[in-house]
Amino acid sequence: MSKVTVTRKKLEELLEDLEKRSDITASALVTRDGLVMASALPKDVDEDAISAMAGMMLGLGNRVGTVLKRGSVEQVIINGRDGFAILTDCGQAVLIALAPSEAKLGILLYEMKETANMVKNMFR
Amino acid sequence: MSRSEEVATRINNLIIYGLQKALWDALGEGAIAATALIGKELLEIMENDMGLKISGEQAQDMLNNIAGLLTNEFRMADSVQIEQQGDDKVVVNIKGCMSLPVEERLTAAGIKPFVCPFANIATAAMRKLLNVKTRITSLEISGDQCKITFETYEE
Repeated sequence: MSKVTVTRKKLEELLEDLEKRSDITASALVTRDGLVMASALPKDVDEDAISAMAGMMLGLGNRVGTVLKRGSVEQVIINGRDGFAILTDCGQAVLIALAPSEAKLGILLYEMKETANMVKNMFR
Repeated sequence: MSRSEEVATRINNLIIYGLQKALWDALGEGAIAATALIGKELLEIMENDMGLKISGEQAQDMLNNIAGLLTNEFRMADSVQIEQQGDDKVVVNIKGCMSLPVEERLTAAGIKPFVCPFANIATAAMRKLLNVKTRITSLEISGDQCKITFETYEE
């Protein structure tokens, strides 16, 4: 098994574990320039488009944070009428997670940061 | 190129520069992520609206096919050579590209050029037809030539 396959497998396990211990229903890890590293998103979601959007969204968050003197972005939260979409910075990657609107946001953010730290450590 | 075509090209390049600069100012390095969507859209226009067929079972054949289309059909550059080097590297050498003034202006403004129709279409085609993902690792401009290098990742 190649190193890339092993890394992908480990990342997929991290995503599965994140979904098991929280209200997160779908998740993915993408690079900041928009490549999918590991994904557990629904089948009808265009992974390439979402990856590109996540990279852009984090970039936008960083710009807004800089202009408004809020520092570099850690998380971007989209609070939609049908649920949450949350992006978390993982260094060279972005963790994307979807959750229903009744999910406990504080716990979601905490669990995502934990997973983001694990990802950061994997690539350190 | 006639005088009116030259003026139109110059104005188009200014518009493209403005769009890219605005994208960069808003998104920073996140703008690079947009190139995957740009390439996908350009490829769809070529295939669906212009009836151009990109073919080739091997990466190099397909890349040669794209280079031929962009130079002969679109006349976007004097010459384009797209070469696969090893298993995971593709180098695109472009001479006399009509987008060169845009890239030079972006570089002068301190912005890393991130949109290249050749590289973006090539990466989108590799993704769609060969199921290979790519990432641009460098874009170097020297005189009237441009060299773009990207890495490939098989799924």
